[in-house]
Amino acid sequence: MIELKGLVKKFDDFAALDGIDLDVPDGTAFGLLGSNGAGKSSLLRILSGVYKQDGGSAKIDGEDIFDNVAVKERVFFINDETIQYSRFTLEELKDFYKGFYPKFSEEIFTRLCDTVKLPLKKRIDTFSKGMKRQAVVIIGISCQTDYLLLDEAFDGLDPTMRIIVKRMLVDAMLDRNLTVIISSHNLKEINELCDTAALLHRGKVVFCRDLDSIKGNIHKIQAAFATNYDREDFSDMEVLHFERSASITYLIAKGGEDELKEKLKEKRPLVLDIIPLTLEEIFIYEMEGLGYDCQGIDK
Amino acid sequence: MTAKALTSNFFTNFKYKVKSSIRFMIVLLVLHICAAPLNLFNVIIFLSKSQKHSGANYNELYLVIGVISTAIAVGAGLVIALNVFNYLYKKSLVDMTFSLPLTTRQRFFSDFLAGAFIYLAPYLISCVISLILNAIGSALFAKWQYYSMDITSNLLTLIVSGFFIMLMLYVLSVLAITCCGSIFEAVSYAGLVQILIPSTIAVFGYIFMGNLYGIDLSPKIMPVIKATSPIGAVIGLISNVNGTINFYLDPYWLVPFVILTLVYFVAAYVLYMKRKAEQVSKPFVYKLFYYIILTSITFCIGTIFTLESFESNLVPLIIITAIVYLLFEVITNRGFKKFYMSAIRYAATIGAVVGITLLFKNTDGFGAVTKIPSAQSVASVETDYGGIFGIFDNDTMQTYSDPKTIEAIIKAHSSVIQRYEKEKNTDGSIAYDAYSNLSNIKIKYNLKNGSSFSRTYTFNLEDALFLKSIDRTPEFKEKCLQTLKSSYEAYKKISDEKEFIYLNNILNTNSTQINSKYADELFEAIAEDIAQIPESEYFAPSKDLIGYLNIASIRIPLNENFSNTLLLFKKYNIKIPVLDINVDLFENKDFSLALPEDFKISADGKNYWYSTTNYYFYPDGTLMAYLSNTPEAMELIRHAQPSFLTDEPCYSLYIYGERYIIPPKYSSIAEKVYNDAKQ
Repeated sequence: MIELKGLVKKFDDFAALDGIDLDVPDGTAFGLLGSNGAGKSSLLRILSGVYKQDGGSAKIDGEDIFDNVAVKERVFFINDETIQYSRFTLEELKDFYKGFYPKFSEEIFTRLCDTVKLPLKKRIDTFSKGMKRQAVVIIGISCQTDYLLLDEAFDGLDPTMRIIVKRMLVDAMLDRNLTVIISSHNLKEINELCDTAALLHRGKVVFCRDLDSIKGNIHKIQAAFATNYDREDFSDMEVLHFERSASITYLIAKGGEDELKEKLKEKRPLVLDIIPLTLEEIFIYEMEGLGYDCQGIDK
Repeated sequence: MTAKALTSNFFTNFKYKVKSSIRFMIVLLVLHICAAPLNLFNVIIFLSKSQKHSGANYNELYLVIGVISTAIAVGAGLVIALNVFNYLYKKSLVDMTFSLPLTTRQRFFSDFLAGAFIYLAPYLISCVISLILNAIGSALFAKWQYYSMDITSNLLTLIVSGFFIMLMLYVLSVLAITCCGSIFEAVSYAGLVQILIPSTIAVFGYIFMGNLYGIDLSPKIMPVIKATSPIGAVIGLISNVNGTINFYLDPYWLVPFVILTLVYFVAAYVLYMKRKAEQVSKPFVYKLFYYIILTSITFCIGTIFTLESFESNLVPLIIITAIVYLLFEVITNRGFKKFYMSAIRYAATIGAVVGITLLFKNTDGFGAVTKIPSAQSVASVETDYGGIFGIFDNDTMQTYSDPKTIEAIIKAHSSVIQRYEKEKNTDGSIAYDAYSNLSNIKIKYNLKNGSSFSRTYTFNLEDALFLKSIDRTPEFKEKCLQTLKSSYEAYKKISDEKEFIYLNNILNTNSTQINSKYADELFEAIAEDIAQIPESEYFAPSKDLIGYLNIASIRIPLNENFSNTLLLFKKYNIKIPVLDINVDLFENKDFSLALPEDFKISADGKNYWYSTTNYYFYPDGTLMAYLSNTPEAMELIRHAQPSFLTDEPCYSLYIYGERYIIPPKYSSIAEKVYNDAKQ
């Protein structure tokens, strides 16, 4: 289990992570959401032992991660680049990682390579972007670590390959209780693969819940009222977004469907439609609530 | 996690790094084989051919190839360090490298050792090949030499010193790379640091401190240069060439060199452990390193620029250092960001350099220039003083520990410093001009507290008279003997002649060659005579000059006081050439007589009492008279003394432009000859 308590990471005076508290249980598919510069990559680098935290603690099964070989052997980190593997062939890359990760499975490696038909003897810099990604994910899965950290790992994959890679990950999760932490701007991927997600913003955790509870706790409301209500009139609700067009009022509000219906009933809506949001919409409206939106561009 | 797993990851990393550099290692091996092994092979071929026919020659092209390939292979240490520690300046490699299951310490040591292995293994293999070829050569040929160089001893010297020089170059490169975070800085500063260490020490020792009157740090600076950097060590190794090519491994060099390599290694390790993964892509992870380099550059330029005159070169100094400094700042800061800070830093640096220079100048190196030890604090003094007449001038240092001798040297030293202080206050340049045309005397004080310091001065007669008592000490006899031997040996190496001890008459018009087999016996006899001659006869001989003994570059005026030497000549039937003065010499005006002057000494025909240069002195021509071939003139020539010390004014005789003293007791004859000649 990954336990982060009051985690702080600073780059000069800038706090990339500012008191992060997170628990990731084993076997979880954990999504990391956040705007650019929110601290997602820094968090993954601390979890993989690349960075040392400046404050708080980062532990896996009660052990510190940084400079701890025993813990690092259980974690594999795939970052958002593949240039570092350019000079290797896939076979060389396998040999390289096999030496470091004692549980490395030749069988899994061969099976996955056969599945996606990657050449073993060609240098990786001759691969397409998607092939490079596949190669690294195959290596990551073959290392059979307990934790797989993926930073924008689906970039450059075509839809078919996305499905294949996702299936590889899901199989690994099912087979050996693999914990996957995915940082991605592609919320669809997180929506499909993760059961839990955390939203980071300016180095802090905005929320961390299982996806169902996230989705069930925020709704889009389309309603028509006899009176033209303003945003202030909905102060009993946590409204993230308010918009009125002619007689229709659009609201994005936090809360369960029944709870919201109950609160709106007092205002006697002529028409009321409550729709659950997609993860992408939740992300956008949550970020808007935090003052991170595109209104400035519209103006 | 077991210890086995820890070592396994360590070796996995090591193996990977070595394996990925196999091709590079092969190239290095080829380069190393082109050096010593190829040349040893060449010597074997040459010696085999020369046994068959005498016209065989060395193919010197192999030597050129060897030098070039060695330079490339040794310089590869920098490239290997850059390659092995590439993740310290390539951001794309950070995640891959730092996330591997290795501790920071493991990663450092496995990478460091892998680099060292890649770098040194080909060298060591080539050394083994060289030793095998050397063994074959030694077994096959009785005279196993390259020209006159002994191959075996030089090869062993080169193998050992080469190993440590390469190791330091690699360690120093790792240290520099650890301080940098981007490729440009890593490459340029890893190279720059190799050059700047010896340069800065040399500039400090030879130029900065050399500007201080009398202070000569060269004996101390060269060992420091040799011990602190690979380039310095190579210079040291080559500068030990004696006559032909000989490499000398000084164990006193090796110890500090290895210790310093260890210091650089520890520094690299500590800095590596402290640096963070996220610091990659910063130009400098440790800015102090950058400022040390930049200050060294400013210091070197500043010191070289102000070598001639500080005041007149101050403006160009500021302009040039500002350009260099700010250029470095713009490159490091990737633009003109906070340029005012760069300007402030430059002002502080140049201010410090100029300030320290002025401070050193105005305080005479914090009193070092005027420092004179008390006689009680000195255990012994070493000096190359070659006698009051300068006959035994050479670099041989002689140690004197008699308190009276120490006191005499301190008095002479005080006399120099008093004059320096007096002249410095009137006009700074006089202090130096006053000693022109005179050679230097080195003095090294060994103090009772275990420390030592050296000074080098050009003494004038006044100062030197304090030293004349040294000539009568037993240590001076030893100095004479050693000087004769070392001059003779040095001359033997560079001269094509077979014999080079000559006995000349007083006009050098006729000479006898002395067989070199008598050399040792002759040197002993001369030294014995120097020690035995009574004091009055040594400084003001009453016996006429009978000839000169020329040994290498030393010319000893002989008279009957040299009893042991003359006995030796008799024993081996060596004849002193006859003085043959013909009329032509007088017609050519080769003899001239000058009026008595208020001088005290004449030293072998030289203007000043002490000089190794052939400086001929001519007094005012109107006061000189050319001698005619008269009995009185002939008598004066016979009594003329090249080395004579007196307080009385006396005539001096010029023979071929060289000055001889007419001892005061012959002044009446000299006066007559002079007056007759003037009429």
